[in-house]
Amino acid sequence: MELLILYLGLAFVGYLVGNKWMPRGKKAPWVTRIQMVAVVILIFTMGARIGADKTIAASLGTIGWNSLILTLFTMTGSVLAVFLLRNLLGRDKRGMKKS
Amino acid sequence: MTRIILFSVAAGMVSGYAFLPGWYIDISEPVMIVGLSVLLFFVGVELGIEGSAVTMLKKAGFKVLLYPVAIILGTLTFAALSALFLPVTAREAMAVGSGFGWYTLAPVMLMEYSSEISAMSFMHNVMREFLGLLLIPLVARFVGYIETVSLPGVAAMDIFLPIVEKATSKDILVYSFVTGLVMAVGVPVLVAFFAGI
Repeated sequence: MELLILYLGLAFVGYLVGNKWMPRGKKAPWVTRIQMVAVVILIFTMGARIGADKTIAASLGTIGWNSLILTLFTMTGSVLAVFLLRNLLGRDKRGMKKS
Repeated sequence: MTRIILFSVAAGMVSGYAFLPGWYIDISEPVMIVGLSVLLFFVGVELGIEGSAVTMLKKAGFKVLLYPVAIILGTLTFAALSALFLPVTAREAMAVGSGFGWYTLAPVMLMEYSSEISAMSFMHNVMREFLGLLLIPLVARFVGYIETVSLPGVAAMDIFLPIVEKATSKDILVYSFVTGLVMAVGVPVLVAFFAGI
């Protein structure tokens, strides 16, 4: 919970910093680069912990199949939810108001 | 980007399995907390510089905002249902499903809960984005245009915009951006909630 507040708080402060103090709309490649470095360290560390756990490393195949099943379920649920809402709000297949 | 991610996770797994010293695993928790803090701060900076997030949300109107809410509910309901066929609890399945394709954030957060669920989360989120790419043209053709933005999840707000536009029309872009943005805010909140971390 404390971590969640920290993360969301930092994202919010980051938004304000970017919005108030940086030139609007200009691309800042260094921002992308810092994100990239953070992501590489995070993903490497996550992989290392998975690899260091021998039981998990051995069952990655099964975990993969389970993930695929979960993915197919969630994507079906997402499309179904939009389909129902779209019809409820009277929009056609192309997202236009039904006349 | 994707190639670098897949290379990083593979390199991490091989070195963690084969030779990485125990102390690196011991310090991995603070490393991940610092890494996530840096990442989320700069995600915020990027959105701030772009400056269109708040304007887009205001312009979009209430009805457009209902779509991401519906997508989140649909995702979570079906994630819970999938637990009937999987060796995980409904809560764990919902924690994994709450990643909404953000494979650089959700699995790292879930590491604190369990390595196994974290591994599942990484694979699920990569698959959601990849299958999104494959299914967008099919869903646009056979189901509907707005439905396409629900497939990739968070990536609908940036890297999938041109893909959605190509498969549907310019009018769908606002749905795509708003959906991705709302889901992005939902990821840390819902992952933490379902994993109880």
